[in-house]
Amino acid sequence: MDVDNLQYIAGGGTFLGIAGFAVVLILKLQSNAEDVFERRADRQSATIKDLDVMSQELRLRLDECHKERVTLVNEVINLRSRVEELEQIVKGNHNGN
Amino acid sequence: MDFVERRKTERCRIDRRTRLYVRFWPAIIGTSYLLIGFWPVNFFGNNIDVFYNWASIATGLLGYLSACCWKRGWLRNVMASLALGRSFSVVITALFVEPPLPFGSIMRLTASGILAVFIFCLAVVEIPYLKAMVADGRR
Repeated sequence: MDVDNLQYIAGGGTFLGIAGFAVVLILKLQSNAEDVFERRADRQSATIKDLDVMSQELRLRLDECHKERVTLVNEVINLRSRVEELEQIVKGNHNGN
Repeated sequence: MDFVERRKTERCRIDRRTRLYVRFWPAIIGTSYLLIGFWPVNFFGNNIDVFYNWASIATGLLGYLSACCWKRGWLRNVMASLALGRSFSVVITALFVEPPLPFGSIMRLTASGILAVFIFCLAVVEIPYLKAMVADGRR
């Protein structure tokens, strides 16, 4: 095989191979790609939704803590009034004696 | 609030210079490849030079066409692939040429090879921006 034919085969084969590979690669990238703003918007939306879920959980915990605090405050008030009643009873007993 | 919808309906989110660059860079490439095609330097001295000249002219014309029809991404795809294929083919052919090419020709071929790789990288990197511009144009 002379050099000319080898050149044609090597040159033509490389051209077809590389050009075909490049076309397929870019086509795949084009079909899979999303635009830069869509990607950024999706990430930002995901972050905002995560933050939203976190803030709702914190609000629920805050509500629970508030209810617990109210319950405890009422218990303290009840206990104080009970203590006062008992003090009255003890004073009354002491005075009676 | 629907954050996804709000962010995706904004227009003109790519600045003007970027938009102009993404639209018209193939025209610059087209000009250089047409110059190569119409004023060729025959490296190999046989019919394969004719093939490479026609490949340059085709790349150049595709460059202008893809600058005009910028929304059609496949035109840039084919242009970049032709440029890359032509350059790689020239490199491989240069390995078989007798007598070996002079140093000046090898340097010129190297430069055109680097340019072709650069064009291919540009065509790949601009894909998301082109998609954003086309999507903005449709809204």
